Amino acid sequence: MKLYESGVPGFDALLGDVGGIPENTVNLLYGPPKVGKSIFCYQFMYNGLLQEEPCLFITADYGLKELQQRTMDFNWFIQTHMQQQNLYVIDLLSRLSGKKLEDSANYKISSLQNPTDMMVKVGTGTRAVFQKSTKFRSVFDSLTVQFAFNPDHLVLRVLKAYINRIKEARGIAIITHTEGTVESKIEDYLKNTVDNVIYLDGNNITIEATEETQEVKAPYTIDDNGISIG
Amino acid sequence: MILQIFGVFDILKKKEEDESIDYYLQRLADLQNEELDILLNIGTYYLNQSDYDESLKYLEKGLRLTLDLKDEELEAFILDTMGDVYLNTRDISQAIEYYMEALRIYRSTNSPLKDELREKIKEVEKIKEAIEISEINKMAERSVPEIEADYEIDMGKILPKLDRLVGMVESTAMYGTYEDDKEALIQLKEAFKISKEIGDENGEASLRLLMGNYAFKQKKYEDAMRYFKDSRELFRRLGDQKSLSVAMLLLGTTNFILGDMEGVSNNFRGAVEKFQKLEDKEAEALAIDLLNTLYND
Repeated sequence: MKLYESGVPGFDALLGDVGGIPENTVNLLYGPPKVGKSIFCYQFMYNGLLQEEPCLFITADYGLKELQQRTMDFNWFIQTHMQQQNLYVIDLLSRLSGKKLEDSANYKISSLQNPTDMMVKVGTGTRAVFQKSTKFRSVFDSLTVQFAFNPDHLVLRVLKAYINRIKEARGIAIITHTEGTVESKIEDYLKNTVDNVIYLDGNNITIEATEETQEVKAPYTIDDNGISIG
Repeated sequence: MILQIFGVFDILKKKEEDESIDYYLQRLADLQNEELDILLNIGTYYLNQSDYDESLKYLEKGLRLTLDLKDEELEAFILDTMGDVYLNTRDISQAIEYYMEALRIYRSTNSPLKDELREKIKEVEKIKEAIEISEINKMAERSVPEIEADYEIDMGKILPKLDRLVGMVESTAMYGTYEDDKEALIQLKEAFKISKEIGDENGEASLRLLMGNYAFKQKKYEDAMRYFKDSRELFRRLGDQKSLSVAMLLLGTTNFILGDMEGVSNNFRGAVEKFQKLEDKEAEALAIDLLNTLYND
């Protein structure tokens, strides 16, 4: 079984003795706003890129430019990886700004109000990263805006289809969601749809219990190098 | 002494001049107002005699004069009367334009006539809609053989209009780029499959519309018909009246190609009625233009 290093110091140890995130795993990272969910995603993506593990990154809360700027704050430069086509970005937000943007081989513009188009591009993107390496990761940051633009049941079905695509190709994914932005029954459904649920509250990171594992909790901090646990 | 007397004459002369110029200016204004009154009366006389060209000629002269006199109230009144002339010639769009301009001025001067004119505009717009519907019916009732006899449709004129219609359905914007692809239909079908998988009904409806438009361009009219029908039903279910009307127009156009004149009539009439309810003038004009292109070319 393939294992993926998260790139977040201390996180893999929290998962137990396995030493990383197992392939074919989808993780929900949730919590209140501004607790570092996106930073966790950048760190996870960038660490993979450094190990030649391509990444399919879906940005719903910001555009590609902002992704580049935000990662640059931590000295994680993604431009080279874009050029090498190891990073495949589906940008759901930039079109809303009305800017004239053009697709490239690994930068695809889609729309928050158009989940079918997003899923078409997820399909193409998954094939593209899989062709680069059978060991690949994906990030979906975040579901929150999707819920704002689409009916709940549609977002949940999109999520299910996204998870299926990633699992069919035996990759791993992180999906982020802001706590309290949808009804609790929807949040419960989200948790039941994924393999691992990770909660960030600004001070502690909790990997919630599953049928096989117990809940694990540890403090974390965020500095210029990103998130570190313990 | 003599110099003093000349000085008195100068004073008297200046006073007379001042009085006379005021007098002449007043006279000029009176004459202009009288001329305006006469022009308006002649214009109205010819309007009542159904001599519309003559009526317009005098009203236009009057209109120019109101501009010189800067009399906004009268300017609006003449525009309103000119609107009446156009209404009588059944040039409804032109009539509405004149009424609207008159209304704009009445509003700016807060004239008591504005409410009356607003009501008149509403009435005239209703007449316009009724005439358009009746024109559609007349066109659609034309017999099929009349069209079939050596009739060849100029697709170069029709297809851009269909594209414009499809572009009016907002949700097609993202998928529109698929049509640039060599394997457009495969791409569209794949996207349609995904839209079904995730239950994106709006996506399904839009994709069916695009697939129909693509099939139409490929002259696969039976396929186009099937896709447009699906799209129409999906938009109907979603309650999206504008997109539903667009699907109906595309269906109506396909009906025309396949010689189903009843289908043309039903779809075009239904679509135009919906656009009118939505007060979407642009879409309504495009529908009429498309129908004219089908029948007149």
